[in-house]
Amino acid sequence: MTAPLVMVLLPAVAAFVGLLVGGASRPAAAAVAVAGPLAALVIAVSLVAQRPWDDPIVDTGFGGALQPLPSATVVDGLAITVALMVCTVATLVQVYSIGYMKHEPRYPSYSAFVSLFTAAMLAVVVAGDLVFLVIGWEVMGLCSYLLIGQNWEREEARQAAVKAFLVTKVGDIGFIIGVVVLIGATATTMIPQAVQAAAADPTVATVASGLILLGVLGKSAQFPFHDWLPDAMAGPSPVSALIHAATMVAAGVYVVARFYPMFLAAPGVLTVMAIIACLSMLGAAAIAVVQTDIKRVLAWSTVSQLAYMVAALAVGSRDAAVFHLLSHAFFKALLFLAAGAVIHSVGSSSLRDLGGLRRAMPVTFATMTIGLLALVGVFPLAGFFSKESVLIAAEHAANGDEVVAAWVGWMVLVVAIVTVTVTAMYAVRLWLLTWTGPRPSPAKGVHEVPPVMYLPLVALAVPTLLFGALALDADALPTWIKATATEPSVGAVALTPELVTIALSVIAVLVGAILGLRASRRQEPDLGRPFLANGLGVDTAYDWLVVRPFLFVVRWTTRFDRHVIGRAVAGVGSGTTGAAEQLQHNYRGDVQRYVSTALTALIVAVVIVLVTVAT
Amino acid sequence: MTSTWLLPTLLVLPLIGAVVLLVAGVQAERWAVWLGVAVQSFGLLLTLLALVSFNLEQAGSMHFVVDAEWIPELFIGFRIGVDGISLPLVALTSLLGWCAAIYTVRRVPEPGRARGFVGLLLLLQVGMLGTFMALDLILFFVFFEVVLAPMWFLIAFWGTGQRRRAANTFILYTVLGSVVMLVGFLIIMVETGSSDMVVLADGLGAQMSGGAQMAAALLVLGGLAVKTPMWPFHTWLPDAHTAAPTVGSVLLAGVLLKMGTYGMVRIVVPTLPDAMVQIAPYLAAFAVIGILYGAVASYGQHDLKRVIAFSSVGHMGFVLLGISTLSVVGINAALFGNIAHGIITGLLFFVVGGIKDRTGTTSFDRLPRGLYSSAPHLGFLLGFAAVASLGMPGLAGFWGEFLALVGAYEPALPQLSFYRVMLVLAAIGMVLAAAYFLRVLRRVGQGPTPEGPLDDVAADEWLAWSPLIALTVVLGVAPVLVFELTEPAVRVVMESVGGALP
Repeated sequence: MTAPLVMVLLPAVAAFVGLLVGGASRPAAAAVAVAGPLAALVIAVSLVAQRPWDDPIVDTGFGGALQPLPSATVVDGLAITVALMVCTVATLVQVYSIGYMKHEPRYPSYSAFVSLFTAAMLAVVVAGDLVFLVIGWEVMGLCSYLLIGQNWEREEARQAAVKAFLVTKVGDIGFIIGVVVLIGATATTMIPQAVQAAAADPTVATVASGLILLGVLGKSAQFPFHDWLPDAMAGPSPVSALIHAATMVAAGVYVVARFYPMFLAAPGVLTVMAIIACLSMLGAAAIAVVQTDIKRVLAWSTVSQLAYMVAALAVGSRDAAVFHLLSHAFFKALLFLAAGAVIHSVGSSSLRDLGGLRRAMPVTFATMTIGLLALVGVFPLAGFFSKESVLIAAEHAANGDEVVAAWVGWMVLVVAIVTVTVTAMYAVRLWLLTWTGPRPSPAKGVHEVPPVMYLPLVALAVPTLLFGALALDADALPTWIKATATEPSVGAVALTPELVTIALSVIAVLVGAILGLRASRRQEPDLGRPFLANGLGVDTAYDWLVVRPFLFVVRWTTRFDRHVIGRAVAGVGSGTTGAAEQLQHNYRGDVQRYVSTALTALIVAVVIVLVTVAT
Repeated sequence: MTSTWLLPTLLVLPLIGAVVLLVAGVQAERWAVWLGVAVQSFGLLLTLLALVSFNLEQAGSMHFVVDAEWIPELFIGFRIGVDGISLPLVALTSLLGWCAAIYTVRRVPEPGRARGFVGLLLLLQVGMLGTFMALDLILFFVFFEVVLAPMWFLIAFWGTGQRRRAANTFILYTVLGSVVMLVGFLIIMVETGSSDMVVLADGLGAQMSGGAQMAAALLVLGGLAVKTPMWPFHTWLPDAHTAAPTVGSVLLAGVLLKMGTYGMVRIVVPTLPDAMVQIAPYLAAFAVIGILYGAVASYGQHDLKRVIAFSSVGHMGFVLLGISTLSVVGINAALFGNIAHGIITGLLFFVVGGIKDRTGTTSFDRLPRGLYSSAPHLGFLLGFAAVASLGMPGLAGFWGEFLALVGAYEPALPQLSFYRVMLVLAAIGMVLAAAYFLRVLRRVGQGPTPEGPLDDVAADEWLAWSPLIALTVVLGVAPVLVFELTEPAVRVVMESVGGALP
């Protein structure tokens, strides 16, 4: 067993130990909870010492001569970079949770689930084996379900938890089948080899990429699977920060990056990705403008920002996608934790109840402002550089330099710039409604959160401020995250900003800021509000297209089972007992029973005919 | 590898126990449960010994074989033995029997009478173990039938609700099934002049004419399909589960259902390969209908036990799908699915039994909500077992389903595109399974203010359940523990099929 596997297992062990000791001692549970990701972070840092990544660290895990346990890991620059981010955010979130969940009776199980989630996310990041990847992928989904449902006394939380699990699971049908196809078509479960083999065969590449894309859209909350994410805000704020902003939702993007050569061999899939990304990017940003809940604004913003990453992948720039993934992870985790601090202090997440908090919560104010500036993409914060890199990638594609058609590049470029405006609009509105305006009455006792909560904010503000500097050296990040041995040719675009895109986005931000100022004056803007607030009507569509038909089928299957197949069996039973009375009863003509038996026979016959025809 | 005493001892021990309880007087009521524990513990130890001394290099051949004359006039012999296919099931049976015995010590269901209850459990054990050991068609049939009577009594006398009706449906239906199966066996025996399952599987059966193979295969499969149960022969199952006492449900779902799918892999596939190749796509279709139907029907139930019963229809559908691919991966998946379903569903029924003990009901209409807080450990176990059952990767339930899909991607049959459609439909079934289990957890585990604390999991329950909990995790992260047994044996089976494949 080698270091990468230990890195994955330590938080899992922490989860187990935390559950065991948590009941007896809360401080012990907290200590274990923080120790898990921290220890993983130490290992991740030690792995960094082994770069440059001309050869990724490939390890077969618990190998054996026979069918080895699927725990092979591949650690290259991409994996280790994302792993560092995951461990950092997870550690800070665990620290923050000590304060945030102080009065939560179920803290031990809560922190254990967060630890288990961290392990699962790390498994996805370092997985070198397809099945290992699937394990991490699904366990993440489970933890997400458990943590959204943390306050399961509330109907809202129960509902949101089930919704999150099932919607992502629908996408995972595609993901699982995609993995099965990859294994079947390439005869290997090792990701680098499978990806390489699939990339060489356009048919396999298209089918597998398309299917895996479904799972990616589910996890990364992209259209039409985006609807679960805003509801997931029913979970505690630290969970939103870690799982529903920084890591799990980014895992979809990460997996595409991991499989990138295969996706590049399927331009059709990339085009679909671009269209979906544009829809999600602009649509979610527009919805964010009309939200009345601080966390829901951020949730829709996450959908929109993830779409930037998906778009970058679609136009051929993995580097830009990963760049934005990392910088978004820092500033969005910061924003959610800051929002959590506000909610913790005020006791409400509704924008109507907020306002004028600037003086009462100076640290939270300062850090959240930094986070929002990064989100909008203001120089020189991380978000500015990473968003610029996406725009540059789109511009390159528009010039016809990438595998996708030029119109795809143009589409992404235009939508991304318009979205910059809308992003500025909702960010400014959020900032104004939270921090400015009349001060809350002192009677409410609004105060700054304790250090255990604000120190993580400060810690996240540092990379939010400085991370963008990576882009100043055009080759720094691309060299760092490139994996020569596993991925022979991945299109690289310089990440340094260019004048045209800078000019465009500065104008976009200014326009958006002015609009945001206007929007914040009205508590409820009327921009097609019902439609937008309803998540572009997807909820209604789901209801009519999936939920209602499903319940209809359930109702009729249950009836069918009781009255048709069940009766047929009862008929067999009574026939076998040979009770004369029953026989007479039958002869008297129990039409329903005849019909039911005949119906079953008919279905069986139809199946047989269908199969015969099909084969 | 010549310890011939091992398997007969495993069979005779519970038989002696049952006889002792039968002849002992009323005073046996006091120590009956302890006799049960003693016998089952000893049996479990013997099974562990068998596992340890089993030669993994030779997992494809029969171990601990006993071959005694029985009815030489009809070339029927008392042949028993285990290989990599049957040994895991023998182990599962011994383990669940032990769990049931421990659980029974303090929890003999109404109306008491420990002597009869334990005696029947021991008799049941003989039949279950014998079915997995038998290497002779008639012996297989006999053990297959031995199981029925004790189960009927367990449901009819110690059950609840409409227990008589459920018990009658169960026995009539399965007897009908086994009669059909027996006719199939007779055709094989008449055609080949042998009832030796090893010889039949080793090419003798394949020499039968196509028509005879088809007739025999349809009959035998028909009988086994009732037991599995394959859609649409499943309706006895929900009623039987709802009425059965807790350990009855555990053994019914955990072991009895596996006798059907085991019979398919052990007998039908290698003995009647030509017919099986023809039938396999139909089997796949029924399997997938079962997966979807089981999931949808499960969602529509208002009783915990019925939900799990229908979920079994779906899970066994995956096992059938694996078999129907006739590929090494698919059949291994099926055998793993058998074991995983036995462990997980066994645990589920134990937990649901625990809930019923405490609340007096399994109906959604009357069950109190908020089990997570009224009995946190019990609630945790319900959640754990449900999550395992919905096929969470990393737990035992995942491998059988996932590898059945891998098998369906590349079946050893020419109907490639047909099987791929089945693959997609089966994958949809996995999501539906998540839907009904989350509904259960939402209804029972979660909820507003609970109506007051319930007794949490007691020490004896922990003892009886912990092996199942542990194995759910262990087999989830180390499926190789089962595959190293089944894989070589499946390859042997597939050698017999090889010639029949186009």
